[in-house]
Amino acid sequence: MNTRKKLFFLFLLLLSTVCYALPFTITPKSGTSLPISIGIGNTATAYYTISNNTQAQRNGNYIKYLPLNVTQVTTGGTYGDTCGATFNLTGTGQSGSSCTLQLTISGAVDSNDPSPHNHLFACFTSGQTCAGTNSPLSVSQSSPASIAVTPTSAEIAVAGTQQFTATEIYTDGSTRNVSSLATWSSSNTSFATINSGGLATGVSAGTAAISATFASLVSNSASLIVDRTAYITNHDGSTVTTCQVKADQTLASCATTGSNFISPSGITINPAGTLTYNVNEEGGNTVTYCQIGSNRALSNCTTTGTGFTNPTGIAINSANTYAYISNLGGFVSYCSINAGGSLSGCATTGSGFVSAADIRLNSANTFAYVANFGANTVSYCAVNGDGTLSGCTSTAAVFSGPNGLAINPAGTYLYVANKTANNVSYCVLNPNGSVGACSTTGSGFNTPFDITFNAAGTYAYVVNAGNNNVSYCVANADGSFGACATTGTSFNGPRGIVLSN
Amino acid sequence: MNQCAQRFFILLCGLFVVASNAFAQRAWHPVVSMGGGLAFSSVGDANYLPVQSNTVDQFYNYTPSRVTKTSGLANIFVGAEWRLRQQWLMQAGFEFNQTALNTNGTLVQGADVPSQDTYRYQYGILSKQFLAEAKLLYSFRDTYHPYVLAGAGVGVNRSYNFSTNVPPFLAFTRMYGGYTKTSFSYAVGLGVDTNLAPELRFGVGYRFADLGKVNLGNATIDTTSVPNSVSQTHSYTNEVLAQLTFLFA
Repeated sequence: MNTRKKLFFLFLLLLSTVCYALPFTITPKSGTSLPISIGIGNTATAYYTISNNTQAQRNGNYIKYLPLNVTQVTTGGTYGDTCGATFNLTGTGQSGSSCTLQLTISGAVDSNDPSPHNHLFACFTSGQTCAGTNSPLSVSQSSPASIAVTPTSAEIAVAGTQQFTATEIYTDGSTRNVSSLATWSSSNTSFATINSGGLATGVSAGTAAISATFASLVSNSASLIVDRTAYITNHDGSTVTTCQVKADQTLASCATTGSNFISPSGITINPAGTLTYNVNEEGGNTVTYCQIGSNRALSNCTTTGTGFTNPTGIAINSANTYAYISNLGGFVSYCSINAGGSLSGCATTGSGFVSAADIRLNSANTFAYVANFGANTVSYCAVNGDGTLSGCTSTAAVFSGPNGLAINPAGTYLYVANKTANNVSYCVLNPNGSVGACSTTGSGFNTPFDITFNAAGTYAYVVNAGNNNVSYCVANADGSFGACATTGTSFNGPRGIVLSN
Repeated sequence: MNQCAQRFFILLCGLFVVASNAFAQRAWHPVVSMGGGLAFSSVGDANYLPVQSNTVDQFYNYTPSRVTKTSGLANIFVGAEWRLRQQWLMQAGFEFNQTALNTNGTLVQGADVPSQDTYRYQYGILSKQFLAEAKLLYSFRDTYHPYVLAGAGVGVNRSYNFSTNVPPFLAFTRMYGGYTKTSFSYAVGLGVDTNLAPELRFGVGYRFADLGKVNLGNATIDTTSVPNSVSQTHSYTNEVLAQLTFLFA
């Protein structure tokens, strides 16, 4: 045999040992790719096509060996031709000569494992005639790199819930939901709490940072805003509506709440935030106080107080010892507040009022301000230690049907809702309690009856009895209003508004 | 025992008869020879293990490469020598030879032709030959001693280290354990011894030997024992060796 022939036969021999026929051909399924990495605790799926290379039908074939951390899906596979625990294949080239092998990978797979028993082998029923694959699984297990909490921001009502998800992110980009495994925390549990499953519950208005810790990894902080609650009295409907005040200042999820209201008008909340007090105007001439529930719904509403004549405004001092009621009948009442919230010992106080429509106390509780609807003025009176008002002085008649009052949280401006002029006046509050220069501001009001501010003093809310909605306006530092817009549609003659925390 | 072996055995018996007569009638002295050399072999028989079941099994076809390989050879002879006539000497005794052989070839396995694959296989054989041997020498000028020899006995062949290049992660194949097979063995040869000293000779020679039968051990496929094994009926070798022969008074 000459050298050329020897080389030729050597080539044939090498060729025959490199390209294997084997009883089965096991190749990655077309259109799929084999996973190359997997996160701890995650699973991945691999698909192979097993084809019978022999001419005869082979029955009872099975997967004899699989790599470590790999299991075969034998039922309910992704593809209709998923290979079962045993599978029959017709002869090569015929219909039914192949099936899809679906594998679930739960950990690292070493393609160089020295034991053949830790490699994929499909066999005839005898288990002696077998074939592996030229495309073995090689899966690395990636380590966790970070943990992320989603959503990164959310907004709920008091007593509302928000489900957060903690996702472990691995170095290869794969992820795993660890919500039930992570340790959750809220930066301020007086605003929101969160349970072990990542479900947050709003407790009171404010913003809490939600984060999760898992395997020494600390997540980002997700912002959870718990919205304030607005209570709006519906004079014409004799109801009170509660609304969620969204972060964009719009009112949402409005619903009636409480009972025992008769033409309710002005409304306020006691300093502890546990009770609402609203006056019941004509036909009622009483005050209704209700318990504020943890979900901000009103319950156990009870009427109280006597001696009122068309009361339309109410204020409570910060010591929670006296309630002041403005009466369109032209006087102001003050009542003692009992331990349970009821009013007693109501008597008139102060003087010089004309159709007193609303009343407010400054933050120091040293002065009371009364809107004289009938005189287009505002009276300001000194508040005495025994709760009485004295030394009442009226401003000039610069208002037009003043019906509602508010003092901004900074205590620098007095705001007057001018029902007749459909605008709002803002007046400088002097340190001595007197009312300084006034200007009008805002737009889009329609029969404004009442006005209030958010806790930060950045927005003012004005109830429009004329079109049954609420205007919300940007409150500028100089006392004026910026842009105003309306929100809410389901009110019925709204007369009063107050925000809870 | 085949016809050739039978003839060889008759020849050997004749030589021993002659030697025995001479031994009985003439003076003799002990001899010990030790030597080494090279064994040239192309051992291996084709073995075909057919499909046992059409649905579950596959065939295995082993074809030896028959390429001549060279290995070392060790030789020891212990016997007696006496003079038959003026120029004829006879040695008779026992000989031990050892050599290590290697067999390789091509393995074709598959369930049928479309699924068959071709691989390589190999295994080693450690062969030990125990022979009763007679050696007839002619003295030329009392210095050179051309000779012929013949011996018969047993070959003890131990097969070991069967291996293939079947990819371990792609297919299973039959794997065989080691096995020791004892069978009839013989050798014939010729050469020339030269006196180096009155009691020492140096010789070179050629031997043709059949080391006997070889069997591989039990077979397993993956973890399952399966019947049948690979064997060869003859292990022919051509040997060249150099010997030192010590003559004792």
